Amino acid sequence: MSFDLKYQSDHGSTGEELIMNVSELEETGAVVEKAVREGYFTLADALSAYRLSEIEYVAYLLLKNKGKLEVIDKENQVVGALYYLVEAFHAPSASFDASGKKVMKELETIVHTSPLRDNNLFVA
Amino acid sequence: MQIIAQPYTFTAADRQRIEALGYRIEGIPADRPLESFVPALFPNFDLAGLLEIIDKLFAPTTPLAIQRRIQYNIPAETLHFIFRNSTANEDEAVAFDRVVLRKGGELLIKHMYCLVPLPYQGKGLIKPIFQASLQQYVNMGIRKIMVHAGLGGGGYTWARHGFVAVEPNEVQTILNDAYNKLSANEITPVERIFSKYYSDHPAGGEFPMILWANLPGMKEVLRGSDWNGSLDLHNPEQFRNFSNYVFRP
Repeated sequence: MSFDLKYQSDHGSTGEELIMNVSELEETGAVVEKAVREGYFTLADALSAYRLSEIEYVAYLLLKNKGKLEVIDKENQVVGALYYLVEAFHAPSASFDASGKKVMKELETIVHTSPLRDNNLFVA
Repeated sequence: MQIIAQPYTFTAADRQRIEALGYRIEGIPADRPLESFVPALFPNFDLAGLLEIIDKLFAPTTPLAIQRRIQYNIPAETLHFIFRNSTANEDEAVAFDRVVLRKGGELLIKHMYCLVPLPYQGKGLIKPIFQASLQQYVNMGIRKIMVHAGLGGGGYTWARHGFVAVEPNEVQTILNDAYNKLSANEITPVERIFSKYYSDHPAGGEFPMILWANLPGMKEVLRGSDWNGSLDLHNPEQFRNFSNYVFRP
């Protein structure tokens, strides 16, 4: 392969080495989050476009916020984890059957009435 | 990853360390030594320290002669440092080539070349260089890293790092290529990102290539692409993402 001196650029292998320890879940989850935050897609559309499941997105949010979750007690870690679950499944829950919708409603109530609502834990 | 700016004063002793590495120093005007220029225009830049790390890690990767040069231009306010061996073969080439410049009152750095010979790729030589570089960029208050993404699949890789595309016509060219290569389902989100960005930012110079890079089918499109990008080190999101990657063990 020729090394064209007129073609000034850091080589792709250089960038690959910098990113080699980043998991696909972390990379794709971060892109989904950005795409939603900047209004390119709804969460449901972003997950579909980037081929990430809701469960994978919950896993991404848990890993990303591991530090924040671990500073609170274990009881509230559950509420924090539920928050990410509720966020990820909000859109698909519209097609749940009655019992599934009831579960989601109860989870939303738990999350939205939690005292943790007042701190930054619920900022994914 | 938080990087704290560290003060540094470049002196004649730094120039001597650089000369001891074998660098040929060429300046305009010639009667103004490097030490009268670097601290004034690029404050806190430990250039000698950075060049020593490059030499330590990159010089052993090649049996070929190495060219080491520094060119500075005081009226133009540019500093160019070049470390490269004497081959045009990409698999054997080692190079580290950077230009620091001032534009519109801001400091920028152009990443001209960085690569190591094929047997040394993925062997841990790059991160220490980028870590040391990023520390210097913070020390100097550099605003943006400029890159021409393309060489060796860099069009895809640098997009994943969060570099944004600065030239709308280059983004349009990549979109045209995507139309030819992607299925109808695959092109829909690609098109949506393009349309929304340029609708919100007509003639915008910060197209989020990262949103394209992770879409199905776009890896191959971007691997063959060629675009000019930048990374804003004063943008908290761009800086955090890039520095997290660079400093990750």
